[in-house]
Amino acid sequence: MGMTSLMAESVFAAVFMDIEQAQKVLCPSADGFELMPLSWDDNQLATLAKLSDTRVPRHFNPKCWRAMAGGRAVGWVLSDRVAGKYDLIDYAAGFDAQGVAMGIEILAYRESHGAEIRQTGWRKQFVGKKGSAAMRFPDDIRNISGATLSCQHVTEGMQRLSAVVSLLTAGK
Amino acid sequence: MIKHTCIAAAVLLVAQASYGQTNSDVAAEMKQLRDELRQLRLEMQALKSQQNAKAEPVPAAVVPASVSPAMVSAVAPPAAIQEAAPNAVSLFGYGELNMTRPRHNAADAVATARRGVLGFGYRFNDRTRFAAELEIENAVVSAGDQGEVAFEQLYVEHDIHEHLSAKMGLFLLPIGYMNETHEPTRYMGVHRNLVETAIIPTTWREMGLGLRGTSDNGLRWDAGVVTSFDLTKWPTDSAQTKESPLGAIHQEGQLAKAASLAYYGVLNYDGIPGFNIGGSLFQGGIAQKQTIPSPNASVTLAEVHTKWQVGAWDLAALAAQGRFRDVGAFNASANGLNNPVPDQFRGWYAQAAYRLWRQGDYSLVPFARYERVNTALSFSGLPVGLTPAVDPDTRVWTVGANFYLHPQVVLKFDTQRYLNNSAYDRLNLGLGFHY
Repeated sequence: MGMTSLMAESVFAAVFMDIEQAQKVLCPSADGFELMPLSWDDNQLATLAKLSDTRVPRHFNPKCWRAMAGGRAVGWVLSDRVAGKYDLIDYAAGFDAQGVAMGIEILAYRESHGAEIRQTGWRKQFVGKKGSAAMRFPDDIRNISGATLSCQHVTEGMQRLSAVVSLLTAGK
Repeated sequence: MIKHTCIAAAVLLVAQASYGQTNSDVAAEMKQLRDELRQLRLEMQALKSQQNAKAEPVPAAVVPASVSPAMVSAVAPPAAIQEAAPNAVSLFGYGELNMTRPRHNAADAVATARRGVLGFGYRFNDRTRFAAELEIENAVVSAGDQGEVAFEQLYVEHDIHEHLSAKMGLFLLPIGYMNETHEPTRYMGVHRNLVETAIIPTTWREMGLGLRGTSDNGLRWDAGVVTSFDLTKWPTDSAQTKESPLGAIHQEGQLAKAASLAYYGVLNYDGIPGFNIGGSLFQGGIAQKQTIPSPNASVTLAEVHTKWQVGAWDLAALAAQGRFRDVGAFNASANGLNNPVPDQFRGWYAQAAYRLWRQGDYSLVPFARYERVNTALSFSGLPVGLTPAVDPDTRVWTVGANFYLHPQVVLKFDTQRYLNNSAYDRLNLGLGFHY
């Protein structure tokens, strides 16, 4: 694991929820979470962009944990960071072992504008969706008036995480 | 133990490095090793604090058997998985350029770089931040031009707790749709709609304190105490006040008279994704304790709005009504007789947009909007026979399309038809972007 990332995490502590809390909420059946550092080269980033149908940031670097229950993998939790209107949004998402989204939690939101994405109703839209094609904005994931940029960017982030999970579950 | 292993490894490396090398080479490598050791020490401290915070230690990196390194490789080198710390400084903004050609008078066609806005922010910590938007209108600002430079916003924001934040400074009031969200990519049509220009004076900013609260069930409320309008700015010529009564007497944080304050409250419901409904009420004194004939004059603006995105449709409606009170004495004065202050002004619009086509970043969204506006509905305080006739409502159809090259870049085209005065009919072209 990149220790520098741990430092960054400790300096910019989660405002609303830390990752341990999010893991329990997103994957309540798990009794442990195993950290899985991920990395990819430019070609692999291009593949992720195609799979997710989004523009993958150059420094796309989500953290990934495998959720375990009784020694068996039951899902995945990933955390990432996207831009809001003015500033960054930290969020985490849970997926079951088949890659179906189980939920999304906002860990840190650094501006009041667009903070409505923390609302349960908006976040629930992702639950049960599998694959980035099922999470298109604003067709599958609806907008919140006045929070368009936050909604769009978090949705695109979820599409990327969903693409990563689809690769993990497919073992490609 | 890790620490001891690292030190031992460093010593071994130094020993190897010194063999057959010059002193300067060794010194350079020593420096590099010192830096690496310092980095390792910092990382170990971070790891230790992380472990202390958990009931169980973080397991070492795990490579699932099913994951092939061809696509997702585990145990990446630290540099590859290093996470960039959020930058405390942020830059943002938007631009809009347009051309307008009256349908029946081509000689009056005008093209202008309507607005260029540079926004910047700085985050002091996770709870406190600053944001500003500096706007240049119509490209050039000089004594001989019509351009304007203005701070649209200049405020500090602080999160009091998870669901409550406060803004202090010069900020946009959260009234209507467009006042806070007026980037050209965010609205339909080349020009901002008439209601949220003539009745709600977008971009309407005041100085003061505002609170915003949100709840998980979709309710969002805003309330604040801010500066108000200044009746002494009411012009004797009606051209400007007919365009926007409040726009004619706004203060915009420029040496604003602050003897009479204003209060606002806003409630929005966003609990159903794609659906919004809300309303707002603004009330403020406008006499500013000046020695004028109407020392208790005030203004009230009430507004309701709704938006519904269903399928490829985006439907919106908004209605606003303003009322000036206690302006009779002002109207009976010399200033008021030339251009009386109306008792009421109001307007509403309904708009339907449909995303007809989308491919990648491209999309085409035609729309139609109907608006009805009247900026001077009735007058009081005027002597019999001097009360001006009330103009009929301005009724406008705007039909056109937004063509997005990217969600943040839009080309616009529309035609506007003024039902009760075809002299205002026009064709509009525009380019807009935000970043």
